[in-house]
Amino acid sequence: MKRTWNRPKLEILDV
Amino acid sequence: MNNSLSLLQVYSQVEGNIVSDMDGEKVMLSIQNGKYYNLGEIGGEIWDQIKQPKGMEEIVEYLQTQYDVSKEECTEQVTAFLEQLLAEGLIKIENA
Repeated sequence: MKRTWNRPKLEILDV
Repeated sequence: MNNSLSLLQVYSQVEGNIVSDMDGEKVMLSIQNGKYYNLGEIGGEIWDQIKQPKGMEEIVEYLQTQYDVSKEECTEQVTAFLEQLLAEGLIKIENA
């Protein structure tokens, strides 16, 4: 069974 | 659809990033700019796909084998994601 697709997103972590 | 990235180009990782898997998501430290990133689960799979230079069509075909998504939607969203990576200097683009 194929997995559910979610929009790929690049998160920049503010450290 | 955003066409600024051509289907005739190939994408690959820029060297100099420390990458780790965490809770199924891929996190990264760019040595070049000192920033930390979270690519998420699907973004991490895309990142793995471009370890070697790869075209958009090949990336999308792989993702369609793993996820329930149309070619059009996948291409559009992967293009946007790659543009984010490009803007951060994490990937490079070459002509196929």
